[in-house]
Amino acid sequence: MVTDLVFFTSVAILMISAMGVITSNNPVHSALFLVSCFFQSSVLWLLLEAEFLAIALIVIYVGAVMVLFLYVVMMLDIRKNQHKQSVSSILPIGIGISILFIAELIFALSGTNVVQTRDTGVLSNPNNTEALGIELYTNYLVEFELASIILLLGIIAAISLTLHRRPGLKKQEISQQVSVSKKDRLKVVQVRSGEGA
Amino acid sequence: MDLFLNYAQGMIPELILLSGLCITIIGISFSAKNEHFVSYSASVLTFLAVVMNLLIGDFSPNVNLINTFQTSDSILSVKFIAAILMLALTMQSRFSLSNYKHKKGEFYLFLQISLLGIFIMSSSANLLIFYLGLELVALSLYTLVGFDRSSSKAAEASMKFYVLGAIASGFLLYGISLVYGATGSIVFSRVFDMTSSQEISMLMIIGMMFILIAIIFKFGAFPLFHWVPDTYEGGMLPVSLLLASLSKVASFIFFFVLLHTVFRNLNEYWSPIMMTLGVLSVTYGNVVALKQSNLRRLIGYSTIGHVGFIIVSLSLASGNGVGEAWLYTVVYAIMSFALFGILISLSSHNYDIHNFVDLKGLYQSSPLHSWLILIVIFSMAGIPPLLGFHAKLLILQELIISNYLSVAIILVIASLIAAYYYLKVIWFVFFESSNHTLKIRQSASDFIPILACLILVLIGIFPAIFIDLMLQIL
Repeated sequence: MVTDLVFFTSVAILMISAMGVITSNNPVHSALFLVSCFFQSSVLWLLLEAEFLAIALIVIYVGAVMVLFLYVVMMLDIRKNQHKQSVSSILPIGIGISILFIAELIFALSGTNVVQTRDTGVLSNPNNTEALGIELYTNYLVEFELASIILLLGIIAAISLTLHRRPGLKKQEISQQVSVSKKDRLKVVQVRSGEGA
Repeated sequence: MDLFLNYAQGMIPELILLSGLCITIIGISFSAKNEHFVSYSASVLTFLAVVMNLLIGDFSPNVNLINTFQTSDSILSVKFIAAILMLALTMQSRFSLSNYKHKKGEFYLFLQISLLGIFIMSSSANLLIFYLGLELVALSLYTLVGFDRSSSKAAEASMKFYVLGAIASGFLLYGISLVYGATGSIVFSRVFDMTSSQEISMLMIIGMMFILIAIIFKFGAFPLFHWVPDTYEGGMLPVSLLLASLSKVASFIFFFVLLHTVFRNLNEYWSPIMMTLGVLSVTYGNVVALKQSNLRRLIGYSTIGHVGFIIVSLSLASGNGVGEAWLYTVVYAIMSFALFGILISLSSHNYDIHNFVDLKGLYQSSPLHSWLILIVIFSMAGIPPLLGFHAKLLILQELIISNYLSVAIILVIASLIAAYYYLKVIWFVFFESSNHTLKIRQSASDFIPILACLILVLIGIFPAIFIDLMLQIL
């Protein structure tokens, strides 16, 4: 009973914040709505007794990613209310398609037991940090390694798209400075008296 | 330790590719001046090693690693063809990149990673591995489309492709999660058992529908094709070639693995949808292509039409059209190697082609390239002795045998419409003259287009062995 109450409350707040993310005109508000989304989803994870994932979501996404995101939003010069016109012109089509889609889902699901899902029994271990670690490094080893390749790809892609060495850029090359020897820079000239400049 | 050895034995081509990738990264970072040469040669050697391994490698074909990874003869053949195509793509893209002014060593890294993704997709045994492989291909494609930093069109195309692709990935993941919710497993064989043994839950069908959306997006078929013309126009020529050849191979694997192996028993649900969308993309792609004046957008729209043929053939519920669809995918890849190879070769001689009018007087400048274009375009239009004709004919035969006469008739009419704009290209090349007197000589960059055109002509005249070989693979 209490669980149901917590579930439906957090789902309702989650939906409202998700709508807020895509409808608010101010990007800072969008980012804050997204923070609220993350908090509510971590509540859902707590209800599923996945404490580690719930805490990790808050620590990583709210603590690190969203703070970075807010910094980026602060640094970008985004004008408010610029795109209002374009949204309102396609809004009826969007609403129409959404209604069609929801009606289709209701039609398809009416009369069937949707919540008939299967228990996987993965997290039977009460200590779910440990269970997660064991699963990750045994049964899901290949997936784990593949995810690391995706991260590598992300690093390479970000660097190759943004790193830009302009030709003719003046910058300090310390190795060249250190390896300069006397004969490259110093020229000993015999100056006769009376002819020096 | 046994576990790791088991994995290593089943994944030799992937491991070769991965070690080649690491060597290339190190090579690029330690060679500031000739990074292009270092990266290029490391990539070619890697792809050669993979091809040789797949050709003569001695590993037991039927590996099944605890529900994560599997290989079989047909999977190895698919990987072999993908590796050869990627090798040819790397060799041809060198000529395009040598004119590119900015940092370019990373280009080949993304080619290697996308081939790795295709390998992983084709031998995955659960939905999560499959998704990760797909994402490897997609992420490297997004980057490659935006690789040309001097062009704002490339940045726009890359951004559009990235945002839309992220939405498609979201649909795919949501579908996978619904399937997981319905079956309690992400392993292909378990999901397949669930679809065959008992009454099918509605949740699973809805999950499958979400996966269909992602398939349609990756193919660039009818309702979700908007990224195709933009990426073809915006990206560099080798990237367009990659999108036309290997990306289609990846989409083919996507369709085949998910719908023909995992959800085979649900074909009464997906087959009519995919058949309709396939027919719509053939007609829409070819009709819209009529109004294009930009050659590369035209090729993009004609790709939508060709993809429609592949989808129609794949969505025959009996599964009889799979071999024909694979043949069509490979033949289309060969044709795009010829077409984009010619464009790359011309642009390496500073003869850039954007619009139809740029083709004017090509016959005076270079008869060789004009004849090659003639062969490719005739093959794409499906004119008899060439290979493209056989690929189309086999699909139409299969459709008529399976009682889809009306679909076959629509496809023939759409091909006739396509013949109009294909012939317009030929008209501009041969019969319109211009006053510039640029003479283009043959060079090493013509090797792969000539080879591809020879394949189109010779195998078109003696098709039996090649077609049997391709049909046997799947």
